[in-house]
Amino acid sequence: MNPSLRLLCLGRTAVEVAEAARTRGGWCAEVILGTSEALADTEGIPAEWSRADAVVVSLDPRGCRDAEDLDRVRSRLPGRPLVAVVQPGELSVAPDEILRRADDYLVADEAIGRTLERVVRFACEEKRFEDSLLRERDLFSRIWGRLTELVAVVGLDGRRLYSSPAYRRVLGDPAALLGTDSFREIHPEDEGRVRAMFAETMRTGAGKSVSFRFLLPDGTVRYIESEGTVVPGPDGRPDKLLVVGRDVTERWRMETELREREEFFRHISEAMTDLVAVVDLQGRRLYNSPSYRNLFGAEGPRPASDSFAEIHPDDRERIRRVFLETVETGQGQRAEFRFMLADGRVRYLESVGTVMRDAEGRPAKVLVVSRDTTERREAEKALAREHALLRTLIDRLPDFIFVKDTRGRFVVTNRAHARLVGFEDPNELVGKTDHEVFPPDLAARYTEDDEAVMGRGEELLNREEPVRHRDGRDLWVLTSKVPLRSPDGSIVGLVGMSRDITERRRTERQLRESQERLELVIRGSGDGVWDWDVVTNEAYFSPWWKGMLGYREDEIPNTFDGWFGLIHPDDRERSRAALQAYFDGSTATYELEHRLRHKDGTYRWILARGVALRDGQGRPLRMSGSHVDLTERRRTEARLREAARWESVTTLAAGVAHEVKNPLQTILLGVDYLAGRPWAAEGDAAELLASMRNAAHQADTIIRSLRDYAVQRQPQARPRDLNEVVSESIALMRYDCHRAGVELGARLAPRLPAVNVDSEQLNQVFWIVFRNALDAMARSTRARRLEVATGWTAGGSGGDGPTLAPPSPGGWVWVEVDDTGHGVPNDVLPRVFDLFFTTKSPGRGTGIGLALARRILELHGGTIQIANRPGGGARVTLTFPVTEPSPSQAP
Amino acid sequence: MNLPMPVNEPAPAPRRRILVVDDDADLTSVVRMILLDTGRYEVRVVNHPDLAAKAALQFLPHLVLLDVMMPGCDGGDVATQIRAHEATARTPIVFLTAAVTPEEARRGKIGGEVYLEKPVSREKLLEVVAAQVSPGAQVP
Repeated sequence: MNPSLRLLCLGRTAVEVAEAARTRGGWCAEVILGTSEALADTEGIPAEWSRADAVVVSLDPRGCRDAEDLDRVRSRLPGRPLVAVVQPGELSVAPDEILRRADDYLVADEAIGRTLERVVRFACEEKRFEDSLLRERDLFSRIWGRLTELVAVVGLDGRRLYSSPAYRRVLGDPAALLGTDSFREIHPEDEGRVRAMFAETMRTGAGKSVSFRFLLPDGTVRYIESEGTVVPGPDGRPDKLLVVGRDVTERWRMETELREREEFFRHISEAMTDLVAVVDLQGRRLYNSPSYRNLFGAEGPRPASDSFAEIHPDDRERIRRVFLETVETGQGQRAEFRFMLADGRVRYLESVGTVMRDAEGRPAKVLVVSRDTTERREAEKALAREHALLRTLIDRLPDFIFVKDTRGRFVVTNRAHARLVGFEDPNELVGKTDHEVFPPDLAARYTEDDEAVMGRGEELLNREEPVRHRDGRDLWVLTSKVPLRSPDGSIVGLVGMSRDITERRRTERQLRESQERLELVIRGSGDGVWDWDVVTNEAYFSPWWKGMLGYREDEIPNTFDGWFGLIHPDDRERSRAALQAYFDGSTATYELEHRLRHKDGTYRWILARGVALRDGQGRPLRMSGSHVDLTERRRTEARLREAARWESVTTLAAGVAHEVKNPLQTILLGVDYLAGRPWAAEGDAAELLASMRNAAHQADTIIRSLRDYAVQRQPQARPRDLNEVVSESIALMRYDCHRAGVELGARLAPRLPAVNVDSEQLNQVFWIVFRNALDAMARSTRARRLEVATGWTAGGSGGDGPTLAPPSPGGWVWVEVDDTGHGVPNDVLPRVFDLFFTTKSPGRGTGIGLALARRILELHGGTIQIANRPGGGARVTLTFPVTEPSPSQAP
Repeated sequence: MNLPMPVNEPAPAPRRRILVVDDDADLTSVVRMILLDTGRYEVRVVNHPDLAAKAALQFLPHLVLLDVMMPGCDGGDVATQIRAHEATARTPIVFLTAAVTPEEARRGKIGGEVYLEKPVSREKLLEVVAAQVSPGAQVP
C-alpha cells in the first residue's frame, strides 16, 4: 500500500482540489494550507511547510500570481515535487513557463481524485529517481576523479581514445591526450619491450603486466606498472585495449631506499664490534650480527637457539627477568652479565634491549645491542687495584700529599695531610680550600704560590714554609708543588707534597749554633775544622779551614778529595800513609804536617790533627779534627835557623879571616922568598914551592869567600832600573865570557818598573851567577851561550814570568839567566843554595856563592831559583818586588 | 962562598928605611928578609904596637908597613901616634890587613890610606913599597 502523502496547498483552487482528493481518495494524509504571500517578505518558510511531501499550487490571487511566485516556491522548497493546478481560461502564466518551473500541472476540472494522486505520486517518484540518479552520478564522478589508477583506452593503432583524470598527475590534462600516441612518453629503453607486449596482448587477447618508465619532457622519470585488457568490437575481434596502469614511482623509490638502507645496515653490522641481535619474545635468536663470531667462532650462533643458554647460570635468571620486563614495559634496561664461551672462558657483556613492534603496535621482537666489556672491566679492576695501592701508599706516607683543582679545592689528600688540618678521613677534606682549614695569613701565602704554579705553570720546589697544625703546633714544612696537566697539556690543578722538617730544622739550628760556637773557639785559636764521613766520603770543611787556603766557602768541594786534591804531590803518599796508619791503629794519634796548595798557587804548611769515631769492630766511621797553618811558623823557624847559621858563620869568618890570614901571609911570602933562591929555580924544590903557593892561594880563597859571606850588611837600597844593574854586571863579565868561548846575549824588556836594590850587592850576585854558568859550560861540548833576560809581571800571580814568587801587590821584576851547560842533577837542586854545598871539584868551589846570592836576594825581599831548562842547561831566575810609589806610604 | 953583593958595582943609591909593624913575628921576619934581599931597604921590625911610634921617631923610616889588627891596639891607633910627631907626621904608611870588604879591597884604600890585603905576594909587596918610597913618589 502506498503511504499517505502530506500536501502543501497554496491558492484557493489548490486547496479545493486537494480537499476533494483527500475526501474521496484517502491517499492524502494531511493538507497544509498556505499562501504564496508568506514567501513575500520572509526568507524562511513557515515551520509546518517542511513536513510536506509535495506542493500543490494554483495560479490565483492566494496562490501564485505569476512566474516569479513559482520560482520563489520552488527555491524555498527544493527537492519537493511541485504540481501546478490551473483553471481553464485563467492562465496568467504561459503553459510552457509553468512547465519549465513545475514538475507537472493539472487543469482544475481534471484535478479530481485519482488524477491528482497519480500526478502527485508520479511527480514524487520522478523526483526521487532524479535525486537518486544525481547522487549516484556525483558519487561516481567523485570516485573516478579520485582514482589513482591510470585508465586509458587505446586504439589498435596505439592512439589514445580516452585517458582517466589520474593522467593529469602524470602527463597533464587528460583531454589533451586524446588521439596522441600512447608510446610517445615511454622511456626509449623500455619502448620496444612495451610495444612487443602490446602486440602480443592484441594477438592473444590475454593481457600481461608490464613495467616501464615514462620519460617526461622535463626530464623526470616515472615508474609505471600496467596491464591491458582487450575490448572486442561488435564483430568479436579485438577492437580496443583497456589499459589500467599505476604510477609506482614512489614505491620504487621507497624500495630503492629500503634496499640502500639494508645495505648500509648490513655494512654497519658487519663492521661493528658491538653485538647486535634480534630475538623473539621467547628469547630465541632471529638475527645475529657478524660480530657474534667473536663469541661463537666462525659458525656463529645456531639460528633460533635460546639466547639465554650461554649466559652464566648465576646471571641467567636475572637477565631473563630484565628481558621480560623490557618486553612488558617497552623500556629497555642496561644489564651486565657473564657470557660462557664454548671453551669455558667467561666474557663480560653489557646489553640493552629495545622492543620492536608489529603493525598493530604489539611487541613482536626484541633488538638487543651488546658490548664486550671484559677488557674494560679488567682495566677497571686493575685501575681499582692500583688506586687502592696508591691510596694505601699515600696514606701510609708521613708526608703531606695533596692535589688541588684550579680553584684551589682539595681533590685528593692523604691521611697525614687530613690529620694535619684536623680530619681523620681524607675524604672530608676533599672540596675544601686552604682558607677553610688554615689561618688566613698562611692560606693567603699558599694560595699565592698555587696561583704561580697553576697560572704560570712554574714548578715550586723545596720551599720552606710554616704551617699550623690543628692542635696548635707551628710546624715547618718543605713543600714542592708542580702543575697537574690534562693529556692536552692544559693545567687542571696541582700536585703538592710537604714534608715536616720541624725537627730537622731544630736539630740543624742547634747543630749550626754548636758548630758556630766551636768554629768561633777554634777560629780564635787560628785552627780550621774538618769533619769527614769515612763511609760516604762526604766531608765538612769549616769556612776558616778553606779561608786559610784563600778559598771561599763554595770553592772547595765538601768531599775527601776536596782535601786530598790540594796536597802537594810530594806529600800525598806520606799523607795517605799517615791516615792509614792511624786507621790501622799503628799510630795512636793522627797528626800530619803537610803542604796544601793555596789559591794563589803557593803551598802552605798545614798541621792536621784528628780523632776518628770507630764502630764496634774498630773500623773508622768518621773523623774530625783541625788544621793549623804552620807556614809562618816554619818560615820563622827557617829564618831563625838561617840567622843562627849566618851568625855563627859571621863570627867564625871574622875570627878565622884574621887568625888564618897572618900565617897564610907568612907562608906565602916565605915561599916567594925561597922561590927566589938560586937553588930553588928548578927541580923538585921549584915544584914543591909552586904546590905550596897554590895551597896558600886556595886557603886564601876560602877565607876570602867566608869573609865576604860574613860581612854582608843591610843593603843600601834605592830605586833602580834593574836593566842598568844587569848591564853593568854584563859589562864586567864580557871579558871572562870571551875568554871562555861563551856567547853572551841579553834580552832586556823595556820600561821596567823600578825596584829597590843595592846595586853593588847585586853586581856581586850577578857575578856569582854568571861565574857559575861559565863553570857549568866549561866542559860542555855544545855551543856555549849565556843568555840574560829581564821582564816584569803585574801584581798577583799569573803572567808569563816566574810563578813561584810570593805575592807582591806591585808585581815583580825578574831576571832569567840561561846557560847551555850540563844543568843541575835533580837530586842536587834542592840543596844548591845551602851554605858550603858544592858540586865543583876541590879547589874550584867553596859552596858559598849561591848561598850568598840567596842571602842578598832575601835581604832585598826577592827570590832566587834554579831549574833545569827543557832543552838542556840551567835557568836561574831572580825576582824583585816592584817598588810601589804610593803616596800614602810617605811619612 | 957567594957574597950577597957584587964587588964592582956603581955606588948604590942610599937605602930607604922601612919600619915593619906586626905582632906576628914570623910574618915580620919573612917581610924583613924579602925587603933586605932587594938590597935597597933598611928594615926595622917592631912586634909590639906600643913600641911602633917610638921606633918610628928613632928610625925615621921612609915607609911604615903597618898591620891593622893587633892585640891591644890596632893599626889605626898606631898610625895616629906616628903622625902625632912632627918628624914622622908625613911618613907614608901602607896598611896590611886581613879584614876588608870586597869593595875596599877593590879600591885598595881604607879611609884614604893605602893598604895591602893579606896574604900579599912578594911581587905585590915590593911593587907597592917601591912605589911609596921612590924618589918620584909624593912624600907625605
